[in-house]
Amino acid sequence: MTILEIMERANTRDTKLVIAWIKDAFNAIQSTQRAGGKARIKKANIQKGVREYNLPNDLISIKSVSILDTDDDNKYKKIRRIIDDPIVTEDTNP
Amino acid sequence: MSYDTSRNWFYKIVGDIIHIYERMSSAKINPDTTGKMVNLDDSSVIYPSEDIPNGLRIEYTGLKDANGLGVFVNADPSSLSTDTDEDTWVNQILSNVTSPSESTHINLNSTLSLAVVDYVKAKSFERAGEIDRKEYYMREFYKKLSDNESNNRNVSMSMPVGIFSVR
Repeated sequence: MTILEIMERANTRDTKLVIAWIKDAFNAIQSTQRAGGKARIKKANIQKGVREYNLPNDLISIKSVSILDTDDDNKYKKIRRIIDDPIVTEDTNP
Repeated sequence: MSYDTSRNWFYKIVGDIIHIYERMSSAKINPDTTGKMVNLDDSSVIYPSEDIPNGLRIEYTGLKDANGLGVFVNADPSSLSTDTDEDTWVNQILSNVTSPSESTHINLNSTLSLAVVDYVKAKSFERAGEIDRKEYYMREFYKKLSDNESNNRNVSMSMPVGIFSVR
């Protein structure tokens, strides 16, 4: 569907404003996980003893996080999310 | 060597940072309070215990999709570029449009495009101060998002019926 078709259906004439609203709608769709089917994938190296890793700046909503299982034919396996801080036995970073 | 990662690794989101933890489990045989030797699960949470190249994979939705396409594209993503017969068809080759005009397509399927129409209507009414109409079209927007997902997942379930089950 073109921007013009959207403008005609919505009975609006301000092209720049409609383009801004379309971007907002796209953002809302991507932030709704059930509708956001067009996911991106990024990978990062895990370093021994390092807990913190940067998330991609263009991220809107996380669908899944996986860790490489090198013992099982290098398959990525989804891991669980925790809410609270766990008690870390070898905490090096307060 | 990482093993059983789906059970032994966890993550937590803190702002724009992801925290990765690993569970290290080791069984120890210790005496309990009665002096009986028992296996004790001595699991503990630690930081990643090894280097894993490309070990972390994040699947997410963003302003661009997996093909690097953003909101606006040069052709209709819901159409075919070649549609000759059953076994001769080609999808559109889409490219990004950075300066959209009225003839630019949005990078969404038909159902989601209609949802965007509702969103634009809602914003238009909000701008005019008609909040009740705005609320109506926002509901329509989210309803179409749900419709889009339900159309993608047609799942049939069948369950065996027990011989002696009475209904």
